Amino acid sequence: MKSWLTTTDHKRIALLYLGTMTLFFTLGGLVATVIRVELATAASDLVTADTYNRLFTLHGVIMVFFFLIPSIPTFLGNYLLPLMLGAPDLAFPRLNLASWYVFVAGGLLTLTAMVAGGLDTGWTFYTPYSTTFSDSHVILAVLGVFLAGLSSVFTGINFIVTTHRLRAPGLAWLRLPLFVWSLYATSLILVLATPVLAMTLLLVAIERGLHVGIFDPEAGGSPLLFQHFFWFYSHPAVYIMILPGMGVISELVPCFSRNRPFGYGFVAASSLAIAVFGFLVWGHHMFVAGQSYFASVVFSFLSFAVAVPSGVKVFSWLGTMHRGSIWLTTPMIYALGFIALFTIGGGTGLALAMLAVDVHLHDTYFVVAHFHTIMVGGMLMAYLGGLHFWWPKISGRLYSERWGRIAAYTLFIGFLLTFLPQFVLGTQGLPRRTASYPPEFQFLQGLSSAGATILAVGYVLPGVYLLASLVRGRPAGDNPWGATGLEWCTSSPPPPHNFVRPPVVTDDPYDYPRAPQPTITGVGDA
Amino acid sequence: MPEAVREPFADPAHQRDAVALGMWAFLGQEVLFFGVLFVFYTSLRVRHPELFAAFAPRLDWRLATVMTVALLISSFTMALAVRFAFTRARRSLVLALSTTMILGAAFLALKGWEYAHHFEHGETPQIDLAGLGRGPGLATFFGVYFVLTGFHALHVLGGLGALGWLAVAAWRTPASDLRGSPVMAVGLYWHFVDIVWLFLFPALYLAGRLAP
Amino acid sequence: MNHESPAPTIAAAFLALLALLALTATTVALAFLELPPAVHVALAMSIAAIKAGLVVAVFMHLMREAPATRLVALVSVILLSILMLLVVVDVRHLGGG
Repeated sequence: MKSWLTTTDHKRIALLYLGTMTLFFTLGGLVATVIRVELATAASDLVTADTYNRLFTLHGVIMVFFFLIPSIPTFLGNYLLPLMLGAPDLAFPRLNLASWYVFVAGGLLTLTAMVAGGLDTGWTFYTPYSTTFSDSHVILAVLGVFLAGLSSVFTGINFIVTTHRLRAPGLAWLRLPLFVWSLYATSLILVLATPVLAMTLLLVAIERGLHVGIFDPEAGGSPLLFQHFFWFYSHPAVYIMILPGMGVISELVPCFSRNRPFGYGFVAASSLAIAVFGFLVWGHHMFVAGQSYFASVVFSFLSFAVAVPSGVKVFSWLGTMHRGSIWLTTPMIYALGFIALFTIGGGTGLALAMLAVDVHLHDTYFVVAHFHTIMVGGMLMAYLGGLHFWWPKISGRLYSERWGRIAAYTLFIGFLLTFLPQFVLGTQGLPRRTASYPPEFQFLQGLSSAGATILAVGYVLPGVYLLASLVRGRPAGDNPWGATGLEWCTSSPPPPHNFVRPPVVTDDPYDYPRAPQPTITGVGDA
Repeated sequence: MPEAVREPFADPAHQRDAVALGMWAFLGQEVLFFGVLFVFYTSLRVRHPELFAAFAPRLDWRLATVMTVALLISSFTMALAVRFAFTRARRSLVLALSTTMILGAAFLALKGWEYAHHFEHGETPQIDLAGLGRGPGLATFFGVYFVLTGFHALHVLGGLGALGWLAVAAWRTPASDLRGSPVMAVGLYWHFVDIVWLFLFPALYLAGRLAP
Repeated sequence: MNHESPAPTIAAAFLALLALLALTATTVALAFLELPPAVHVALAMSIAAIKAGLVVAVFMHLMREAPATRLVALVSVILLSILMLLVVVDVRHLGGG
């Protein structure tokens, strides 16, 4: 136990993060369940409207700051980055451990706020409600999120320095795995956007606790300024969540298509382009918030620009599968689910970026459905795909491929059933964040709640068969999928210093025609 | 037992290079962290320039000039400390670190005295919660003043802690074992905090026209 | 071995200090002049930027660091400029409070 809590091994820290985030995800998921049960009927009968506010805030804060943002970087990234670079560890191992402790401290503070009576501001902490009117535990919660942000900054710095300074001999930039490119772009956002949120939340705490009129219009402050700051972070934060997911998909698709990625250079560059453009579009969250008309037009235009590099990625995945030899394993099912749902989520995002359309759809279920399609449909599919892809490497065991596929399909169906009705609800004008609604929306809301039940089953299943594989799974061998990449050249799980002999890279990545044959047998269509 | 820390670097030059990159990345996020405060300041000054003309003269520019000089000299002694750390001049290193700390502490002492003075004269950032229609005024200006200088002062305080730790470590370590990278990292941080003040000084203290 | 001291020589650091002190005196002196407020702000902030540049170049030896290190520093300043620019544009277009 103690050797785990004082470890500086990036692989162990990654597993500490996995355990912590699974707890947060379970909590956030349970709250989502209560919300969906409440919404199954039109009246507010299970919880009061006030409790409902606290529930969706808890769900949002936990899922955004304690699962979606850290998930892929701190677990898969932490585990795989040094392996993929051929390095013995991250550049600053103690900073890495510190980041986990800070993360846990932030989580505990936030949970304390939730237990002590909750938070009802929504995950966005909008002023002046959060600073003046809310009677919930705003200060405690923002300090918790502040600490989670600090932990992100530590991780980001570590990844940037590691990628620059600890690449194996011969591993030039244009030989880096695409997952590393996406982690690098994510780290830039983590380091450069998070401080803006950190300071903004501290200002909220100062205004609320010490009565300084920073955002208070009565005292010359500006609530709009809060929204500028908040979205300057929180829009790039969307790319913090989705970019690593895109990186995972860029690993899965070439491996299970047995093909080189189509347009490697463009995919690598598109990660950086998304990181850069992501910083220029925050104002599209403020179209109806009283922002100047001029700024709205500028931000609407820029928001379309960010769709271009995302489109480049989708084309690359399709192009990689084209004339590939597709092998429909569990990770690949998740990858295909990601591509489908990300395209739906991205397309509806463009609808929302249109100034006139947004005035109608703003703060309706359409927005809820849009970002859940990107976050749950996209990011979570990628997370689970990556988890299944690298699980044999991390645990050294094979899980049940049959149950893996069943769970993946269950999730996909459950997802569509939960969130497609919400797009319709939104276009019909149903506002979000209300516990009760007019009875004519009953059918679609009921459909959504039914879908959520299926979704919940899809989440529980991997927890069961992955844990079972630890006990009953067959040994995985070094490279069960026949994948390329340095992480597959070492044992499963890797030894403490990752490689017995420091690797030297002589080839370009993804040389799939010449990759080793898969060693998995008995999983069907291999 | 804790595992021994593995240094993943091949040689000291490699490590110094990595520490420099890591520290600059950290300072990059500090730029944005303080940047929020400067955007807050700028938006207020654009919307209410009259507040700055009216209340900036209540700040003591003479005292602030002395504080600026103290920080500038401390940056100079910090740069020397980094040099001494790399050349393993242990006594000079301890001396340079201590001088830097004394100047930093002097800055904080003056800042504290200044704060006390403002509070005595009712120049506080607290807005009157009960008063409706109170409008922008003295509390608005002192709000931005206290928030900006307060965050800066906290960073100076953090820097003093780091310097103290370095000085004690340098005192205890034989000269042959001295490592330059930690001193360089703290030095970069200290210089950055100095730069923040270089902007705060004209932004607040010189915001109105000075009278002799 | 290039892990030789990255810090400036004592002479270079001292010259930088003298320049910084001189610029401080200048900015204080300029604040006494009767100039339009916009000119006042522009002058004071330009001098502060020059001083910051001196500290970065000499005390923080940025120019001797690797290209990646310089890039990280540059990107952070560019991002802050974007935030500052777009917020100020928005405030200006809104007008008033």
